[in-house]
Amino acid sequence: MPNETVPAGTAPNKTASRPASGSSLGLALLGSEIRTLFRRVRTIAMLGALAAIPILLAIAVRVTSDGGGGGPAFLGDITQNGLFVSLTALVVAIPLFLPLTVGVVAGDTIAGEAGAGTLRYLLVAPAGRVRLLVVKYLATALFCLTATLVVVVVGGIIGAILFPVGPVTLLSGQTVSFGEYVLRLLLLALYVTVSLLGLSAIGLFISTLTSVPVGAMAATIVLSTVAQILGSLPQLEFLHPWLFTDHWLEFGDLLRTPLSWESFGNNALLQAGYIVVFGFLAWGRFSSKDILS
Amino acid sequence: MLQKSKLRWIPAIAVPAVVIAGAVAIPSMANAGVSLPSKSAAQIVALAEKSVGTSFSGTVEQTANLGLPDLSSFAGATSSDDGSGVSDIVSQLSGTHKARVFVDGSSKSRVQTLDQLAERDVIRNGTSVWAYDSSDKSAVHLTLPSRDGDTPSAGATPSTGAVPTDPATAAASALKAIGRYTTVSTSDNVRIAGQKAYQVTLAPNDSSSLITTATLAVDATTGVPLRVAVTAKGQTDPAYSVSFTSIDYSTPAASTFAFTPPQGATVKKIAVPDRSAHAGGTTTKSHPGITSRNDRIAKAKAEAQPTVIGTGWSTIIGAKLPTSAISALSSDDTLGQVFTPVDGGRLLKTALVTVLITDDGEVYAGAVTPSALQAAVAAQ
Repeated sequence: MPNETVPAGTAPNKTASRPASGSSLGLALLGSEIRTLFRRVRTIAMLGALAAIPILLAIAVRVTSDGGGGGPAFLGDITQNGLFVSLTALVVAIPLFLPLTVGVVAGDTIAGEAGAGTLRYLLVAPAGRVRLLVVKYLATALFCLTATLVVVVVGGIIGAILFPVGPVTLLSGQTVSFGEYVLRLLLLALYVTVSLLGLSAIGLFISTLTSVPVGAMAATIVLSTVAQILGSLPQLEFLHPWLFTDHWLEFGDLLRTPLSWESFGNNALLQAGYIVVFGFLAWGRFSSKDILS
Repeated sequence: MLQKSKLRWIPAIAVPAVVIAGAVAIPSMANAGVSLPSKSAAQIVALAEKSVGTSFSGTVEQTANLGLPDLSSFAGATSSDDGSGVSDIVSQLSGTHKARVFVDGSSKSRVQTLDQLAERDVIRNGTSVWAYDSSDKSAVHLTLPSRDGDTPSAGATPSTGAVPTDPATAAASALKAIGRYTTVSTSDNVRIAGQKAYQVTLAPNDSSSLITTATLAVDATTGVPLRVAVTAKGQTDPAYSVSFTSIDYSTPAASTFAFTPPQGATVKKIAVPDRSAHAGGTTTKSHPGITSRNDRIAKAKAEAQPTVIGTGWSTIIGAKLPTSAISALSSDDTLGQVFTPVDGGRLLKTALVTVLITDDGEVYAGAVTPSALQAAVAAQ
């Protein structure tokens, strides 16, 4: 807690007296929030579980060495080029494991503090409710990026250890060097991170509704699953462009030549819409809520 | 205090409401009132014909709503193991498919069919044509006869076959249908892929045709056909449409048209096709877009020279199926669901095309009603 920044004698009503050094306070709050988040055993355990996906996948392919036929995309390519482990792991992680961990973090943001009875202390510090929301959201976004990078980087490392590594063939049939592939993988990690931002905003909003963190987490995760199920029903095609999961598996566009930015742009626009809608809803709820815990 | 906290909700509700309203309204506003100097249908067609050889790159969306069951889940399950070409084509004919098209003059082109985490490419660079499928890493190479410089790539290539025809190619075949069988008129100007466009509507005079209109949208400045939409009897939404969603008129980079098969790919070389083999293909081009595609399926199966019944929009193509194809058809579960048994054979009715496979192994296809098709075949 940034208790040291609380000026002596500040009234509990923090909206009334806001200190001049607003931005530095926000940064201090963000720093402390990020430290708290990433020092948590739960966060580390979730990142560890995500790291286990590419490791298990690579070992399974190595032991059975049966690359051909079925399975997720790129699975068959792993035996020829270990760098594909990252891609296969991402394909496996995107529908379930990444939303699961992000749902836990996003659902915990406000409800977790409320449930632990620490929310009012956070607000006693002259942070302001809006600033607290923004800081909580930014920390969640950082978790999205970290989680994605863990899958990609661990996948690359385990792939390089267990399989031969060589120039990578993109979907268009072009072969690119290791350097360009790394660049594309980073772009891809960014794409997946952006994909998860809409879900994070929904989680933040749900988290302001309750003081039971488990409820908020479960609701967020269930929503991501429901959106994906709706997205797989052809009868609901009119609904698909509005689902935040609609572009989740379109990251393949970053593996074509010439590079296609179209789905990146569409995805970013869609997620931005979700961030605005649920961000403002969360603000409306959180700023009008009576904080009792 | 209560009043204040209620007021807080106003911006919190208003902003999401504005965002949602904007997201709904903006796409529908984009089409409102495009004003262009008026042109006759013939001038618009001429404008389109003049555009041959224009360089551009763009994204194309193909939507087919033929009343076929959605087989994408089946196709996904079968394409990896046996690579059944028929199911692939059937799945290509349902739902929405996206492709990127690159064209440099009349001799270089590349069509990328964008599947999820996979891609099918057809690249033409002069007389060399490559087809590449990333899902099974297979490449096919074909060298065209050098005099054949003006054939559009998508129609002339073998293999993958199931590539959405780019509007330029689809329009060329639509233009051929203009004649004494057709009423040609202009319709409202539209905005497609950010470009102002003229529209020409073709309506068959023949009442037995399943097609009510075929609409062609032509870029007002460059003449490049931006959309082909075919409407079927009894439907308001197009049964089939190929449309640019974005287009850029700068010349694509030369490296786009260079292709070397990647390591580990299986490469197949195909001998130069005989000119006479394409003769059937040219006659079947009397219907725009979809028909030539369906006929290509039939053409692939047919060994004998096809028979042609009727003229104009109600032309029916008939061919003798090889015995292997008949057994393949009866064993294919996906196709079994699509065909319905009728007197003397099995019938496939889609919004635009009717296909009849007779019990003695002949296949007939045409853009006509089932009763007209059966009557014409019976009169043979």
